[in-house]
Amino acid sequence: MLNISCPFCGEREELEFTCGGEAHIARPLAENQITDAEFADYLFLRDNTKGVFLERWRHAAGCRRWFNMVRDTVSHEIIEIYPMGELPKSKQGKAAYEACWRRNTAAEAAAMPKKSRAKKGK
Amino acid sequence: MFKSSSKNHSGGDMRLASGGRINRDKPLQFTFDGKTYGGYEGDTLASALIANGVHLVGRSFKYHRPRGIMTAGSEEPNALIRLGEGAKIEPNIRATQIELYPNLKSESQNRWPSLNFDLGAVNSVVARMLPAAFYYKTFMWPASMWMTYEHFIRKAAGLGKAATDHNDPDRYEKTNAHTDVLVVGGGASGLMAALSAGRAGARVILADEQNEFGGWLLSESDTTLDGHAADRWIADAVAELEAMDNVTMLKRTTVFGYMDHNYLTMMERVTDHLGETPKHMPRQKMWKIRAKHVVLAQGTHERPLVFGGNDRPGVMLSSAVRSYITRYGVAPGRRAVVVTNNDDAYRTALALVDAGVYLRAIIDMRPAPATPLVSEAMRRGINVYTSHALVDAEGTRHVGRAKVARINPKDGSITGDAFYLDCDLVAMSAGFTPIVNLHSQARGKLDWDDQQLCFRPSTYHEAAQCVGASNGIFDLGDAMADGAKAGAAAATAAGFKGSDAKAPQVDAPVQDYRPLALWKVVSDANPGAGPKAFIDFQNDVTASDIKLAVREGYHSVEHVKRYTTNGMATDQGKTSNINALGIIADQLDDKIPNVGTTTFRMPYTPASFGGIAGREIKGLFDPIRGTRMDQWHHDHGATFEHVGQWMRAWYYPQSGESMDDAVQREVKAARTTAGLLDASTLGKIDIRGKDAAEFLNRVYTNAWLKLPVGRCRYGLMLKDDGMVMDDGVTSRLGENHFHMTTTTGGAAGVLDWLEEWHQTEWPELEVYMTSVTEQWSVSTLSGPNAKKIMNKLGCSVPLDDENFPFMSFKDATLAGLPVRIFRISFTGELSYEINTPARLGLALWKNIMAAGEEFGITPYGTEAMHVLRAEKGFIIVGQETDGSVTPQDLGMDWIVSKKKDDYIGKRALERASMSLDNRKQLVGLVTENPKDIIPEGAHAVLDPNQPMPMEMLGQVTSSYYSPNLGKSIAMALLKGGHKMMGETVYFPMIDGQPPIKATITDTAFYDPKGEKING
Amino acid sequence: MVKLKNIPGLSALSAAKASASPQPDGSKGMVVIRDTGLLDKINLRCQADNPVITKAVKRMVGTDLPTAANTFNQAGHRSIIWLGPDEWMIMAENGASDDITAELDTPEAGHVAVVNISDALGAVTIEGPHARDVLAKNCAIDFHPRAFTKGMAVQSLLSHAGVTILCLEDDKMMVIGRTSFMPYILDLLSDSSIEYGYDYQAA
Ligand SMILES: [Zn+2]
Repeated sequence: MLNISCPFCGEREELEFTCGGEAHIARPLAENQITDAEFADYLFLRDNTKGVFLERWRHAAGCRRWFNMVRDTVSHEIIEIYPMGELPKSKQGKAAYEACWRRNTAAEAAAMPKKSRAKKGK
Repeated sequence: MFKSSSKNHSGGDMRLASGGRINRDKPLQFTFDGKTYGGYEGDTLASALIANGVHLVGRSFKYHRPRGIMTAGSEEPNALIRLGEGAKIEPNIRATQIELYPNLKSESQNRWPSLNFDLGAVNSVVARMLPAAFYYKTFMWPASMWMTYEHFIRKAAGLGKAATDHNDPDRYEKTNAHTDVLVVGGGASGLMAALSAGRAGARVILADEQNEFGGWLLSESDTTLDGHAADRWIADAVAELEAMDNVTMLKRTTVFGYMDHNYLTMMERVTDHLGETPKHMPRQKMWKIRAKHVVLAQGTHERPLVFGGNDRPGVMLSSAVRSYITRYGVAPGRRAVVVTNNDDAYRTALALVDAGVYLRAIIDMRPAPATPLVSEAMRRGINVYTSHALVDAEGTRHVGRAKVARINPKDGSITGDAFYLDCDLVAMSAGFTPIVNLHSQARGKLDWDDQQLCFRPSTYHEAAQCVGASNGIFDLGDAMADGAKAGAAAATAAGFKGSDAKAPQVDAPVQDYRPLALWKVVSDANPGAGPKAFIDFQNDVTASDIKLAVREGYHSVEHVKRYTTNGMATDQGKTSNINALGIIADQLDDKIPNVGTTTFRMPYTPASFGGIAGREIKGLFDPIRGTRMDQWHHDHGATFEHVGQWMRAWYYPQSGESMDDAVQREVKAARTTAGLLDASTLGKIDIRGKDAAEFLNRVYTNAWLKLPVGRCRYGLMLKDDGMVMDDGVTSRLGENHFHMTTTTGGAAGVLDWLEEWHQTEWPELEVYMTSVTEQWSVSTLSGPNAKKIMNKLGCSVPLDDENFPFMSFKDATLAGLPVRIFRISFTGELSYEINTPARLGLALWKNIMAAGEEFGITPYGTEAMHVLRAEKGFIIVGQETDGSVTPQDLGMDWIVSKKKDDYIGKRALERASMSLDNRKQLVGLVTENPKDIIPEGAHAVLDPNQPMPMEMLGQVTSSYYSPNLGKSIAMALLKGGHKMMGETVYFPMIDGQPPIKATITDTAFYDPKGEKING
Repeated sequence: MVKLKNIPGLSALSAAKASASPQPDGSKGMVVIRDTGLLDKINLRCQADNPVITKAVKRMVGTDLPTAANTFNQAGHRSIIWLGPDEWMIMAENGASDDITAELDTPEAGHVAVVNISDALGAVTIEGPHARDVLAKNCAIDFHPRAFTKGMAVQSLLSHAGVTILCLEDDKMMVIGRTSFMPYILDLLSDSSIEYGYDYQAA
């Protein structure tokens, strides 16, 4: 059983938390058209990584706040805990984020407003 | 010296005249297999039986061979006992761990009809037919016969039988604890670790599985600490620790599980040793521990030697023999042979001689041992045979003589003629194995020690340290220093200033800790013949079985283990592991570390289900939630049903009424006069913030921005895959303030859902959600007379349709009580959902019932509610939906906005597969025979005469007899159902009844135009 | 607005009768469990530095808004409990919630949610030298006197019920739970107290 440090409440037993699965699955914005197959990457496909994995957790029985976690699914080591909306700072977390196949999907690109995408395109 | 001089090994008084840690002033009586014996307080059942000359205590698992007590601790593989009577029966308890209490009742296991004459022992005679994996190989085919085979196998074999009375009268509890340092094992090094950590001020828990602290020190008579007997040092250390506020000392407590992040479980046997559990006390208590640092001071297990008949009663581990003499004041035999490959057994030999036992000889497999202990034995005139081995321990139900021969210590081959030594006790030692079970559970790694011939802890996965003998440090002084160091380091790591407690001056025999590496079975018989030499005593695995497995191609230790079941019994191979590895390595002509070792799993020793369940049984198994009106429902005869954790009033049968009668009456009353429903369990969420309307716009499928203050609207929530997840009515309390309702079962889930989207997807929206489910009690008054009753109650706001239209709410007083009234309806009748602060819920309910009496107001339960809404064709999420149903499938396109840019589920609904014609769609059903009620879940087919498997269209989701319509009605999800209006479908029945014939209709069965809504 | 002031009513545990189990020989002392009866509670959501709210809290509760995790501030009969980075709960005597709400829930306060949840939650106090042991049997929080000190408040699970537990004194705690869970919570606490003996006193 994991001992998880809630970023707000501190160390608590795993049974106070629920795991929300893979982190950093950006939701395509309605303004961006993508195909059903591209949308499926967002809606259905989830990783089941052996090793360093980025997850969302919620302190369900405590402050009810969501946060992100970099966790090694083999050793169960919790490498990093960081707020919702931010990216991992640890070396392993960064590497796992960059290595994720999702980074190159149309679904993820569609999660950004058209304007900023245009900017980024330049 | 013996109190009596009987020469009979099977009986008689084997208690020594003095010594031991038993209380000779407290004699006790106990029974074993119906016979009464005497013992003393401080005895274990094992030591008391041995004191009475009883060694034969069970039959083995597979061959039903007679088995005796082999060890003096938790590693005991043989002496498994069934303890207690009636509902308190507990099987498979190790006699070596059962503390004697007055009138203890115990029984041997695995024997029929009796221990001395066992029919199953015929397995032993036909043993040639029962090699390794015999059961797997023989009973594999045909599969259909397995059930038959299994019946006989289970009857013939298996461990003890559990109680047949399942009402265990004892209490079991659980508790949680946190600690800076958990020390597992209260022997010499464990005590040192606890002293170091405790003195540093760290919070320490010291757990030991025995009835007193001290570990093996309690069994050594040849050792002094600081010039005194060891027990004096132990007493001082224990007293110091017990005086510390920051130290918790737990005796009789087995740490049995070691999980991630230093989470450990242990079972404290709180009152087992008393026999009777006082009513207020738990029998056992399971501790769940989170430790900053763990010190594992579990000591060692001695290994048996592998020779023919090594399982015969009277053959014991050498250290156990020493323990029985020193700790329990009992001699396990009168004529002993000590057989060993190491120095330690010499200490046993000397203890035997000191106790007055006739020591026939020490059989030492080593070629030329020249250690102080060997010299001492020789000086004392003991016969020492070096380069000799025990070939066979012969006897029937007890060892009678030892067959001994000269060997070549290099390969174990016999080089001289065998001779015999009469004896009734064989003390054997093949060296010591550090106990690394917990270390291994915690994913710690091991290294092979080629000198001491054992695996030692190498690297750690958790914040832990093995110390002393369990760290492979066998010298007592060094082990104590090791414990002290680890205790100090653990305290320091936990933020205290730790320093090593000073170890006492140890005076103990100087010992060579390097046993002879000889794993081969010494035998003068042809291969495969000869006496059985056991490796795993509990699972009856012999050396031949292991060899056979290797010959058959199983080279991985994990495969050999599963093939032979070696190490898979309840003792997890505590005594067998290394011997098995040695033999596998020999067979493969490889080294033990290359063969590898198996992984130990929890539990270290079996833990009772009672302890694991604790008090989470019966009424405390799961919370039962009730509303504030529950007492009234009970008083008025309501029957309740589970809705999640809630118990809701289901129906209110009057005298003589069946459930059907009651529900029909309630349903009719709600449509003809007035009904009252306790709707308090509906989920309620207060939503505040300037973006509240926008937020609702995103989570519901319909439009919310323009809902006027004071008005209510029905909403449907989807998951992002487009499937319906919840529904309810939400009302606008203010410009930026809403009151959302959810289904009873969905309440917690919906709030979590809203929080998830707000926190993780749209944190920029200014909105706060607060659960108010239980702030309000809700009485729903429904029926044509509802308004009259409201007026009679002095409702403070006008109730006419212009001032208080359908789908609006008002704050008011009713019967003088503050209320918020929602004019919404789940029955189709004129309805008021009257919310009041929960403290007033019961008062309001009673007032409404009293005011409605003259109109025949009828309380109705959840079943009538279901019928009433079904008459109207209203869905219930979770009944008409199952996570695969879209609003369109439900025929609810009207609630899905075409204009909104986005809402949860919008994009998914646009997927091509969502508009397929053959999706299951919600339709109504009217049966040809109005009295036929289609069972919910029944499947529809077009042609009931088609061959099986039939093509199924879908299933019935709701089905009732409608008293208001005078006919049966149902709803169903049918493939392409929306285009099948008027068509006939059939529902084949499973019980040979003719299929039910029904016509597909719209779902609005009653008042389809909604004319009753205003009363 | 539906007001609570000056209305009588039933507490979450009004149906629970007083009960007791004798104190066994050698026990340090009875566990005393008491229903707090009607106690007003307000859920507060806002940013921790909201100046209008901080002042209003000071005025109405008599203390600062606690910003340290797992703590509560108390002044007389009123207290305010930290529940999260932007969430608190105010507890006050029966009938006080209307006035407190009115002071906090103003247009000037900006983005806040002040919600009366007086009847949504019930509470008991548990007192005695074994109070911590009783809680530890049902909750994985570290209740050691070094770890759980006066002024601390934790949200956790008491077996299967969500609770907030306050350390009022060294040997006196308060357990706050949802109304419908209070009978279960009372059953848990009293059952776990049998080892030491207990006395449950209804409000
Ligand atoms: Zn938290």
